[in-house]
Amino acid sequence: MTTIAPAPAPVPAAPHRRGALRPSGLVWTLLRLHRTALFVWLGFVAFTAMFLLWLQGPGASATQDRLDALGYTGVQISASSSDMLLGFTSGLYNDLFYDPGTLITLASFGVALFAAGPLTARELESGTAQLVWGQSPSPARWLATKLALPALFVTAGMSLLVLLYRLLWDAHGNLLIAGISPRAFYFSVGPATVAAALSGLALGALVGLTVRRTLPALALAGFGYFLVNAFRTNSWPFQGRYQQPEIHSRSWAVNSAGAEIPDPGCYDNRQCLARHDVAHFAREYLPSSDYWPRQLLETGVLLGLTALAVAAAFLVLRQRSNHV
Amino acid sequence: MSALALKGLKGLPGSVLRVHRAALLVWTVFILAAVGYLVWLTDITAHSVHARISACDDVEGFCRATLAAGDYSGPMGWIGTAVYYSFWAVAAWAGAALIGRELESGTAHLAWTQNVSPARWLAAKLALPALALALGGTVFVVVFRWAWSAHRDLMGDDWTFNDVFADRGPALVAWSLCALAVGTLTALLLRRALPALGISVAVMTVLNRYLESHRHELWQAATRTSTTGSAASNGAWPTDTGTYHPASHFWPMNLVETGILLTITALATTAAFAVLRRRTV
Repeated sequence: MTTIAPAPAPVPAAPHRRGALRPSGLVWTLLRLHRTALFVWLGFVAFTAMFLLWLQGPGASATQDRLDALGYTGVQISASSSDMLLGFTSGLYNDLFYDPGTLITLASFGVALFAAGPLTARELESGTAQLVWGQSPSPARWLATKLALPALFVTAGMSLLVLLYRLLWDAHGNLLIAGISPRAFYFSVGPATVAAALSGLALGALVGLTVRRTLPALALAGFGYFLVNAFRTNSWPFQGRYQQPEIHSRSWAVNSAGAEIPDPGCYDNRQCLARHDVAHFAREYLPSSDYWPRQLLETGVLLGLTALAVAAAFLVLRQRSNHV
Repeated sequence: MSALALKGLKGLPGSVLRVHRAALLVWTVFILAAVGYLVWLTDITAHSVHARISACDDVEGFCRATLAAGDYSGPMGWIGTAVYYSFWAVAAWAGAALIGRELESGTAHLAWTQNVSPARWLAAKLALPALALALGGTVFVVVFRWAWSAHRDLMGDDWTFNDVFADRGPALVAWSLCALAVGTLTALLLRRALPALGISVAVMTVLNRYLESHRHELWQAATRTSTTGSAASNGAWPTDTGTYHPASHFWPMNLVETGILLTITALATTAAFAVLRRRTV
């Protein structure tokens, strides 16, 4: 509990509101009520952040050494082996690099399911919500707090992870095998990643308030968010026929005098490398001017969807609470 | 057996069916839709795709690939994948709706005071879904085997694909029965719906990924020799060590996987009854 002790801080958030249950009380109640979810979320953010930092530092060193010594050939050698750990990961840098992305996608689904089940539907099903509305906070304020608190945590956590992930790309994207994977990664991680999680929160809450039964709400929200995700990765209207534009990479070698020379194409032949006086190699992905337009457009669409879902959730709530 | 007990036996399955009628309906519609779509694709779509391929005088192979992908092989693949991974939904449902919710809300305890012993309650809760899963799964496997082999020329997959491997044999039913048992055991241990849902899905995910990555070890692989080389390369599953599984290994491999899953199912079910006895004594 010590970790959430600073939580009552938002007291000045709405000091003009009157009522027996003060805003800080409502915030505090919600944090306590959903503490399991809060701990799971903090645990996820901490674990993924550590994972990203590891990939930034010690995790990359072996592959980085091979890149320095052999160039892109070294990257390819590092990426060819197949020791599977429980069928989940090969332990190769080229595979591990994308695993935080999988965790982030799963967490977005988790947010949508949490919003549909424990946050809204379970409360309505068990009658806890109706009980709270009988006390002082109005249903609208109850829902506003219920949405604002998770939104705060989701935005903060996801922004941190996205930032770390982009830093990791800048530092070690050059250790990835070229192809569709780095391209898909490059264009998908950014502000839109945060917006996607927020849209899951809004969509889940709308489903929970509409269905008002925990398990059907979970199933529907999962399906609904699956559709959002499927459209996100493949066919937003503005992406046209192709998923992502090409991103280009550049490889070069440096000789013992420190001068840049073209890659001699020696593969892993050390004698050949010595003959061409190669001191070390370097490689980088060039930034694409398509990144920001695409990210911002996608973020805009997702936030628009979020706003619509939130508005609809408040409408549904007003209808429902009138009948209580 | 007394008349009262007989009446109880009749009433218990009836009440289990009534409580979970929505799930039964969803499962029935899901299987019927999958089977119906398979029949439609095989009997109707495939013929129109064939007709368009023969009318298309492009380079051989290109027409076939492009025309078949969207209308035929794509949907075929999706059906196989969806039915295979439906065991996740089974695990979630068994953990949350079948057992977890009843223990959380106290409905189960109410039933146990009504002349229904906890063991019989659990037996009915497991037997009826198991029957529905086995029936639906068997129907799907039979139809899928027929549909999958009907138009091989239009498909790009083979028997070693994760979903195809399970969908063509009893392993498909074993996966759903295993999910039912694991979900039940998790719910009895946790006695809360949503945590049980999460844990049972996680357990099934780990088990699934583990077994899928070790499938090629389920049966002794054959060694490639010069005389069998060309025959073996036809539909064989090569392994890392240079050996391979000919297509004839499908049945033993599928049956071994079924055996492993049914053993886990039996263990989880036994453990579930043991946990229930401890909880209710």
